[in-house]
Amino acid sequence: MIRFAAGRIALLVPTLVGMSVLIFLMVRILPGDVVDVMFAGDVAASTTSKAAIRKALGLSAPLPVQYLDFARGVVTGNLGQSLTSGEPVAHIISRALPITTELAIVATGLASAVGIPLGVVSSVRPNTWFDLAAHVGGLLGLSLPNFWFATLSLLVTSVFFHWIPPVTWVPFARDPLQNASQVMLPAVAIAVYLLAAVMRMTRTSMLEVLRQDYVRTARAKGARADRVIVHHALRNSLIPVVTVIGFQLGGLMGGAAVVEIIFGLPGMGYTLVQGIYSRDYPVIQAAALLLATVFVVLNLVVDLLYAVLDPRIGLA
Amino acid sequence: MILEYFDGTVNLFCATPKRVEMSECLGDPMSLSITRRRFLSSAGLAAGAALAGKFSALSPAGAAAAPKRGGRITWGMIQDPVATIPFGAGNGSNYETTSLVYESLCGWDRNLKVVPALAESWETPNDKTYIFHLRKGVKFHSGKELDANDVKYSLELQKNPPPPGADQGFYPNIGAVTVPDKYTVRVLMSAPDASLIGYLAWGRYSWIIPNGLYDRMDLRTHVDGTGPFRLDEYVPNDHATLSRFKDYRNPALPYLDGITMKVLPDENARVAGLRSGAIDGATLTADSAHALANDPSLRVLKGLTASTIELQWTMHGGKPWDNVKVRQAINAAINRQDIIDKVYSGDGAYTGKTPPGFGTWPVAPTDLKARWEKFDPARAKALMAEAGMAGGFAVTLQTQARVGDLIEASEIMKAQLKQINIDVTVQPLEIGIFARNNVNGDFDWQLTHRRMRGDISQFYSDFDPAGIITKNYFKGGYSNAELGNLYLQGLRTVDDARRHRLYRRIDEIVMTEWPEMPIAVAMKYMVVNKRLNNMYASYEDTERGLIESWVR
Repeated sequence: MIRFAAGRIALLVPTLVGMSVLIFLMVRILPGDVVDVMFAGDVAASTTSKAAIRKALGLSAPLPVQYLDFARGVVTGNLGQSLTSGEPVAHIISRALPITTELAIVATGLASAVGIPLGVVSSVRPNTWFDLAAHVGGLLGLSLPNFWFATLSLLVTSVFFHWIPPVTWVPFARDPLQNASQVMLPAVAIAVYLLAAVMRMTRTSMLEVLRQDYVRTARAKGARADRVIVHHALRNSLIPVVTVIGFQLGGLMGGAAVVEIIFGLPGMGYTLVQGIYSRDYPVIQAAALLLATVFVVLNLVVDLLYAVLDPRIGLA
Repeated sequence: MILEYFDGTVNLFCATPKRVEMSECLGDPMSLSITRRRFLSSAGLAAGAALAGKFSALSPAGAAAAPKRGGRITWGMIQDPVATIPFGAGNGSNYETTSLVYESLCGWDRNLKVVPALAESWETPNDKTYIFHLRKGVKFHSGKELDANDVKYSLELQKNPPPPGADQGFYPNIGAVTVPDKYTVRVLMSAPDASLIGYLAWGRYSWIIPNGLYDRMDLRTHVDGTGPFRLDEYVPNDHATLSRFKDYRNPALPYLDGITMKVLPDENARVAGLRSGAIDGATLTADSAHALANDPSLRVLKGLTASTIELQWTMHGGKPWDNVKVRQAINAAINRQDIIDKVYSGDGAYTGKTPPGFGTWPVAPTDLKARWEKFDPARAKALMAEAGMAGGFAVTLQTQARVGDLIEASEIMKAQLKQINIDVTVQPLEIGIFARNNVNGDFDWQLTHRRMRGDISQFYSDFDPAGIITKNYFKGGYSNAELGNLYLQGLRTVDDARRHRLYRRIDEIVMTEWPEMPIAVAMKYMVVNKRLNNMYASYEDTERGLIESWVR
């Protein structure tokens, strides 16, 4: 497994280099730069002063030079400064990343903790009312966009309970209770889709596994039903579920942007979106590269988990 | 032709949502609310002064209760300030925060009347010299006393603001700043420039900071001003925490102990925050404000701002709208009242280049509606025929995606212009693309927002013969030497009465030839918790009303 992991980690390097080039170029292909946005519509500045600003911001250098600066920054940990606020990008990322990470982990934890048991129960009691309810609930969960659920939950709690999560971010270390009250609602909004996906995947996978000979054999040997389900069937049916969770967790790191904006949480997605609007190249590049890296690493972790869940799967 | 001008103190004509509490939104003449019926019936009134007297007699919101010191509030901001830099920030959200922590030599009262701030008085011995006498004993948040060297440092640095600030094109023709003594500043203009006082009063680009502060402090996230609040903490994309400055030059203000300016870009989140009491106030759209008008814990405030929408076009030669008759036809074909009704739920006004509410300068909305911007489809068709364009033409109208009122107004104009056979394709563009096209003049038509200015001349800076708009929008297809000369004269004329005459003539030219076409201006809505008293929607689109607000 160590060889496998080392090989995959080694592959990360060219992958990330390729991604960094792509991200760098895609950002610059976007029409308009930060100076255009700065002087958009209602303010006028001379070509000379705009050129001076571009030069001061390092935007007038040739693209290869700008890329090398960016790459050097990634390697040395100096990600540059925001073009709009002048704040070091590392500060911006270090402030945003924990928020999104916490949100994604809580949402994924919730979805897994509820979705997997629901999927299991649904699979062992197929075609019952419970199964039907879970099926319909799953369809709803997959159909309802998280921004809709987020907005609705805010309006419902504010109208009926005169309460919404605290609006100013409080880190977990400073006040765990307030942090929990702040994260719970957005995490639930995000978890709804994931929960439905996990539940459906667990059910489908379990139904397939429960038809396997070795499960029938285990039952024939007189093993208790719960042991057959949990020990024999569930573990083997978790591989596709883990794949779904891994992909979703990676996607959530950037994909929670809408929910972050709705709840006023200054996470990674929100930061990235703001960066794109203002053409803040260093922020976009760093955030996008980091999110891509997290995604690739999570995929690697999922691959490694396959072997843990099913030792028959060779990693060599 | 004679233009009917409007008294700046009675400039707010708006419809009132059913549930808005009239007595509570009348605290500020800028937040004046009168019914739509009254608005329409007032169209024929020319007695502006009489109206001014009538409205100014109305009591301010919460005036019955005595102001009370103490308490903290949370205010929901639409956008992050990005940085708290005092000079050269391009984004308006920066101004929302800096207007509470910094001050300039002079300022505006609620009615945009220039009032002394850090300067207790000033004199103008000639057209090129201003002498400011500073208040004594004014403290910065750091404890340093304000002196003339701070003013000199600030005024000089504003010309070319340090990054991430940038020259936004509003800096007056200041030639030199000298310091005769500790409390006197002499500003020598390189040419007569009447925009100086307005530039200072606006404050947006003219805050005063301690001498050498940029070398000592990271002003992107820290502040050392003389304003009524000091900045305790600024966390970009999240919040700014302000607290009362105990040594503020006016010992009676502010009443609030502190304010948390929380960034909440999503309107539904601001609505939920208001309903739940998590935030005490926020700016909202008209629809959301109307929806909250029934909430017994909330109060709806409204007032005009200078945020107008304007149709712009490039005239590089060879385009149908290079013909002035076509532009006049377009003006006559656009039903602005229809746009105001549909896009702003009736809560808007006609506007010229100078938006209604900007002192005594704007053309009266009644005059605009009845004459200059009159909806007259028959005349529009006749003008198109005279221009040889009865068959019409096709054009692409660019506007900003994600900006609801621009897109809605574009679609309505598209339908209206179809009546004179102009086939408009509305093209919503992402801000970066829109901005680049706007700056470079890479468009046929654009619908965009125009915003606040410090001085009347700055509403007309597009007609500066040496300006970038003249070069990128008009070159080859439109020129009017008189307009360019009038703009320069207006800038250099200090005498107020003469300036009024000049801008009156400029308005006549603009609203006859339409090199740009102002469309409408919307009301700004703020919703506040009823525990917050004396707040008002300021014309320049800030939350400076919080300086005089208090909580029960």
